[in-house]
Amino acid sequence: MVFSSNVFLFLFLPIFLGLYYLSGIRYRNLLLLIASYVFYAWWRVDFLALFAAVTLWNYWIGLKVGAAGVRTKPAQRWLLLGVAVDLCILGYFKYANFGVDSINAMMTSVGLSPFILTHVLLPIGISFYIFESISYIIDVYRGDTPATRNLIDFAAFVAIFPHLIAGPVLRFRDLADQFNNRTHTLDKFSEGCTRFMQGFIKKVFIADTLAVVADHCFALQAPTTGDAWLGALAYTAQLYFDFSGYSDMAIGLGLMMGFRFMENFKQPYISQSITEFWRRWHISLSTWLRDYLYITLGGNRKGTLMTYRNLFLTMLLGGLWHGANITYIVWGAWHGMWLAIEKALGLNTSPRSINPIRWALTFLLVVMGWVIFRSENLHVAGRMYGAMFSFGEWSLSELNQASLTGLQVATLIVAYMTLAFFGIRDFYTNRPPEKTKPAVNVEADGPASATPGMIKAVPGDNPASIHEPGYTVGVEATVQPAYWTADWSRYVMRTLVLVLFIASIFKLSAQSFSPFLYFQF
Amino acid sequence: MTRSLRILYIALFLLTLFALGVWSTRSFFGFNTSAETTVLNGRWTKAVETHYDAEFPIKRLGTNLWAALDFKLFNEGRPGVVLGRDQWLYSDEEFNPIVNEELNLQGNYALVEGVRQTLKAKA
Repeated sequence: MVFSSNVFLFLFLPIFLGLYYLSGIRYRNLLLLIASYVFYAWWRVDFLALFAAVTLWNYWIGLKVGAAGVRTKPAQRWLLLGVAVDLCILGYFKYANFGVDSINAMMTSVGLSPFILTHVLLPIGISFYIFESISYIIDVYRGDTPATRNLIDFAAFVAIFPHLIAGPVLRFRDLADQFNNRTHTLDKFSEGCTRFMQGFIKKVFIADTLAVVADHCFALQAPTTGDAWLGALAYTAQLYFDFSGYSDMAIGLGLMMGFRFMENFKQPYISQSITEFWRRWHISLSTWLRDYLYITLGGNRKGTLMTYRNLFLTMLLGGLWHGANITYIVWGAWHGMWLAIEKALGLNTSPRSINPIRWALTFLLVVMGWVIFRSENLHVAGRMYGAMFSFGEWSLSELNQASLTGLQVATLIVAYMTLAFFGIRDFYTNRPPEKTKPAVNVEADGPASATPGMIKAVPGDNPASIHEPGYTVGVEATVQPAYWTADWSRYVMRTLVLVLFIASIFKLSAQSFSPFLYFQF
Repeated sequence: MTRSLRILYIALFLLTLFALGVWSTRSFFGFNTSAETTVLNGRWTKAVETHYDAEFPIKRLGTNLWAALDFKLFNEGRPGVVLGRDQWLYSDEEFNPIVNEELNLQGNYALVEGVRQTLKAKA
């Protein structure tokens, strides 16, 4: 099921919320689990069995690892077995086609007959639920969370429908307590409504309109320089509004049920370095990669050269995670390369002022990355890059001019104005403190929790106030600022959100189908 | 935000979902799928969803409103429609980029020419 579909909005969600608040607190996790399985089975019932099997497997491995003791040899063996099986499942369903195709291409080029494999169907959300399961068994091994005996809580954690299909990539240790006791308040619920509607508007209003432009430009056989840049910029905005919209909806749904998920986006396009970009883009994935891949590879403990290798490798595999295509590998390598270069140059990645040149350069690198990320294959990417940097014809081609509508142009402008406004506002309200503090030293063997998570300020609080006495969260904590500090602006915003939400519902019912981009990963 | 305003806000949000939800269920009266749409591989849910979307109560209203907005603000038709003169409407499929469009064009020209010659020979 898709959040931005009529079936979800008007049948699933009302029925679920009704049952959820009517049932006793004891049964809510079970209800959540059943609802999440229904949500998943709406796509295909048969693949629900695979999902349930993976859940059971990791539950069992978790118990075994936990029983063997933290960081002991037998625990390590159980962990390796668990991770290996998880990766094999992911590998088979996600990469078998790609692997066989690549081998066949090689074999036919030397004159051998190719293998035959029936096309393997990619189960929706498999990359996400496998990663979440792996993080759980690694956390149990590292002693960051005890192994859970409660199968329902664990299954509900993996399956919880707001994040089931396209993230954020949650971690059991962040949510374990929330499964046992969480509060359901009016404040949380109303905030959840806002987040959910915001996400819906982002998706239906902006991303869906821009999708047409991007698709059209990337499909042109002979794009001009203007076409290629338009396509690249439209896709850059589309991807952000699509995926951050999805994350907003997930976080909002979580809040309606009393959960607080981690933030997934923090105005990524305001970044002034690729390192900063990855602290603001798909945060749940980048922290996952850091805690479970980068640190497992050795992190920055084994000398400078190994650090660069680990950075590069982490991003390369992170790229491959997005899909079995050479374009994703190149994209990952591209980002890994820049991360390593920035580390080598010793760039200041938490600047206190906006340097337009650095910002523009970073944005250019990010946009260039998105071009190959969006392209179906290297041929399309080559065509787009060729057009972008030939600096030939800046006007749009005839085909593009004819199909580009005023609504699309207006949406693109609104999208970039929104990005600029909220980006700059976020930058100045969340500036790092003046004094340079020693960086938090994350040891490879230390708990993965060495970097503190997000804590949400109470609406109306000044985000900087946590540095004052009386706040016990610690000065290292990242605090997401309350959305609005004065109340009148909140009335205006919530009214606007409601109105735009209704308009988006109309738009959704007018257009036929609107899948999220991140469903394919 | 005061407590009562919060309640109002949540109520408006939920009311939208519940009201449209209840209203939309009428599309299921007398609806049944063919025997080929099996449950296990997702065909049945797909059929249900397609039917539900097509019969959604505010579909027509939404389509009209957005078309009117597009027309008033930008003087354009809905996606897929190109405005012509004298209230003529055209479909926009000729503006979609297609792989090997030159070749297709040549092929179609040849086809038209072939038909023309056949007709000429018969007449």
